[in-house]
Amino acid sequence: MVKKDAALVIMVLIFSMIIVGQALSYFAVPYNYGASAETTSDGVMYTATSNSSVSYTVLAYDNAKPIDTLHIYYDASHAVYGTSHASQKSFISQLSAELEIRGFVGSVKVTDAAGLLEVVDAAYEPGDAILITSGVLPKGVYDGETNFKIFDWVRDGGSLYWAGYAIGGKYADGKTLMDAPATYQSDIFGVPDSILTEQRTSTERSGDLSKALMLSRTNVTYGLNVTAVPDTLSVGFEYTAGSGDVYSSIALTQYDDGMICVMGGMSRTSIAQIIASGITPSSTLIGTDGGSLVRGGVAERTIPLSGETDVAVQIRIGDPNVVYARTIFL
Amino acid sequence: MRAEEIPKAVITFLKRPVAMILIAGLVIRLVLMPLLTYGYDVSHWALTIQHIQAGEGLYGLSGYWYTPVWGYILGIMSVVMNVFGVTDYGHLFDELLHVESFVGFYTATLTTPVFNFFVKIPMLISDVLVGYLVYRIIKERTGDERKATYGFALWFLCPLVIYTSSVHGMFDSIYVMFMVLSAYALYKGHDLLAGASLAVAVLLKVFPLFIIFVLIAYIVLKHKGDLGTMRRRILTAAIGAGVMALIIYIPQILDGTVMDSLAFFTSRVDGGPVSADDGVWSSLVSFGMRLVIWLQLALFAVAALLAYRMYKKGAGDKDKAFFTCLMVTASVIFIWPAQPSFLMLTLPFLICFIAMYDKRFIVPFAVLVTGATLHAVNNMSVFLSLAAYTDVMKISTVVSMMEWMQQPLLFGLSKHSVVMVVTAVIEVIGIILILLYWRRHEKEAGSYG
Repeated sequence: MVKKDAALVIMVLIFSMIIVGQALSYFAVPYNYGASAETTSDGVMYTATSNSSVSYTVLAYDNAKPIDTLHIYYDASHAVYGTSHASQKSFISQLSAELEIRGFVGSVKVTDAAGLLEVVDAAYEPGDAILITSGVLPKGVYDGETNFKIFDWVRDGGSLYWAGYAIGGKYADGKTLMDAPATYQSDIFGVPDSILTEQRTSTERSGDLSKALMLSRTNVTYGLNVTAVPDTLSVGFEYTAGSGDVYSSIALTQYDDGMICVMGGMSRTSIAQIIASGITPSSTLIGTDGGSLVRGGVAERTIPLSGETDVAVQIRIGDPNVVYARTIFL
Repeated sequence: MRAEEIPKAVITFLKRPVAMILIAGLVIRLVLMPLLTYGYDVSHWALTIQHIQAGEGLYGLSGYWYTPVWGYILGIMSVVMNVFGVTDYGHLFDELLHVESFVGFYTATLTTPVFNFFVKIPMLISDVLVGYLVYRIIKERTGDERKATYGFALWFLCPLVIYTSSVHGMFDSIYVMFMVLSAYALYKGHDLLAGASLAVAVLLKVFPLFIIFVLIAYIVLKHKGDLGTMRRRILTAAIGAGVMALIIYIPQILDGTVMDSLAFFTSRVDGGPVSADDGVWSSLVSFGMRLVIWLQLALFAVAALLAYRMYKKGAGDKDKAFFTCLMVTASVIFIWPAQPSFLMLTLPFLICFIAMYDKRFIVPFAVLVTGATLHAVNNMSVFLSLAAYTDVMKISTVVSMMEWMQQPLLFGLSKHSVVMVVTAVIEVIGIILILLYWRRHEKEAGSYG
């Protein structure tokens, strides 16, 4: 009897396994992680915990600045470039999830053109940052001729994260896409050819901080000229133009008291990493560490410091994809 | 069976030829599974598992493009790997970033051999189970152990099956298993399980949906004149399918991601995710994919007609009519240059037919498997994990081989693309041969005779 129905018994067993898999994927996810760090006399001591088998990576860097409020611009009544409103909406939703995985403690506010104008019109609040993924600014905050409100806000100390098109190259007058004056690059960064407008990719990583942050975006199109624009940190992949100038797929530049981060292409994990890490144009990598926790456990180790200021530690669990991360600003 | 009888039974089993074939097939798979892998798909399995581990389910973050069943299986494998202490899933290799722009689908993220091994275990199990079902069906229909062993060997040692499961790391043999299980359960009169199994098969990949007409026609044919039984059986199978589909989709219904789970179909209707930089090839693939999508509607009608024909002409040996119609339908739906792994659906029914009714079908079988296997192995990137994590070969060597395949050969098409075209043509010839052989078989033996 048993032999006769073996195939059917197997079938029932497999169905049961699928239901178990469903529970493990949604209703009874059995994974827990934790991370913390504190300064000690020897440096910065971090702790990574997990109840399952994982690998983890830790990096310490200086001159970090946490973001308290991230304003993400999205307005379906305004033009976008090279994307659709639906894709942009989905991207923002996915980015928010990536930030959550990385333990981003600031508040995330999706704001429309009017809201963005309110943000830049108000006095700069420390910890405020704006993220533009549409590649286009609304006319209320920028028109490339007389209105540079958003850049004035950055000069006062704000942080602007930019992706989607050449920064300042276009603006949106409602649904109409407008070209900024041809001098927009000089107007914004003080030097011509500060943005790469050709289609280019690169696999030349800029350095250890880029690797340690696990940044992977290789699209340099609309990237920043890290040779010509002063006080710039390149953390992406670098393309050397015929002129000898180097452009980076991800670069942060000091903008008076504020900072602009220009990202070529769109990578939700790289953008989430940059924002969650709080790195600034003057950040440098202090050290990295990592290891494995087999069937759970606690890792507790120290990364030595030597007088660096505004140190932050990012503890990431999971490779090649982050399943949990925390950035601790010390 | 008493406990003391088990070792004896095992020894008896090991002496049978089918055991030798099983062991040979397992050894080949166990060697290949960790060493060779298609990084593009397998790295997505790592991504999916890590999204589950992050608490994002299957569709909270993009990266998993299939219906949920395979994702749930990955959810189990995540726990299995945890228990076995697997911590290292893979890494991004900067030196491979440029291959992501090659024609085809390649990634710089390479999974580790240990991850490759574990993630392919469900495919190994389904390979064995499909082989077992093929063996069982042939044995029950013919009573001939030798024929059943032959059928098992054709499946389990088939290079396409081995490649798809053990190298490519694609889960086609799992939906094939559910499809064959569904047919077998219906044949045995277990309608609820047949329906449930069909639902799982369809929710893994859409192709088993084409078989639904054959299943319905079989019940109608079996119970011609007995409307009550006919209705009861169809209703029972429908309930099985409906309940199983509902159970599978509960999380997506609750979190509103049902449409995300259909990306495998919707992205292809849009012309497919062509990332290639090869203009001619991109256009061909994009156009071809759209054409194939619309061809599916016609093939759906053909599948229905085949089922109707079986109902009209299969009154003699109804079970033979059923298995024949399964074989023909599972062949005709791929009368286009299908991805090799899709053709796995054709194989079990074709193999059953070869072993049970007409051994001459081995010719189209050989043509089809040759074309599909050559199509599949036209992928040097399967050596990348081996190069990255062992000293057997260098990454640069594999990249050189990939670059060589990317060089233009004919009409602006790369060597890689030319091989794909040629092997796809062989695949289609294989399918046409099946249909021609079937016509000859019908002429000789009568319709389903």
